[in-house]
Amino acid sequence: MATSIWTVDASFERTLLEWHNIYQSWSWIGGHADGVADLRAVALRELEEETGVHGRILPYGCGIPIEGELARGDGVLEDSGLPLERDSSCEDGFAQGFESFPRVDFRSNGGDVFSLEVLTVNGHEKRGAYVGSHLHLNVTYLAQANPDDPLKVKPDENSALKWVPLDDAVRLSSEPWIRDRIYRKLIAKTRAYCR
Amino acid sequence: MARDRARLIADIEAFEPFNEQESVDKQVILRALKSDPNCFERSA
Repeated sequence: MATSIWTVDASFERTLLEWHNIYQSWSWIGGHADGVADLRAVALRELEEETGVHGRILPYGCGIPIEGELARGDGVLEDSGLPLERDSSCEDGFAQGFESFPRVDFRSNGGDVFSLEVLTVNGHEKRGAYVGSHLHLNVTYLAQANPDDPLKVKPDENSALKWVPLDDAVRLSSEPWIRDRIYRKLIAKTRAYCR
Repeated sequence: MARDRARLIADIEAFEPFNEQESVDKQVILRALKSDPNCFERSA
């Protein structure tokens, strides 16, 4: 198992990327579980170790609209005629505009899990030893952090860090599958989340 | 450890996939969590 942490600023408009030494690409943050089943804690630890940034995982139990079933801007779910309704259980004070989250239209979601994906990793050298090709069964969490916090590279993992507009995660990635299947999805989910 | 694994399984079971990729991968991840005692190790 592995975990990733998609880290955004308070406006949900920028995300934190690292220049990943193995993938030779700008990349999200994450790592292996290494025997720990509390992936939420692992994700926060990876963020701190790889970037120096302290993040806060955002609750995701409120759910988001399923792809293709986004609510219209006038407060009515497309094709349903159902009015939107505030979900008071989602109140946490962290996101502006949360009152527009509709209870009847948004499917409830599991805990803080933001995204799921099975990722392929090609064989590579790490710390002088060959690591065979393998899969990352990956659980992703959404976190918020302060872009004013100092960034600190972890030389054995990355070579640079920067906050970028969400769409730049796609533009800067040199990994076509991750770029098109994962980063585009994460951006869409982020925008739906903070809507 | 067992409690964390059980919570993770419950969270993922309740997770509503956003698209077909998440729907398919959710089942792969759940299968590993339920059948492989070493799934949190790199050797898994």
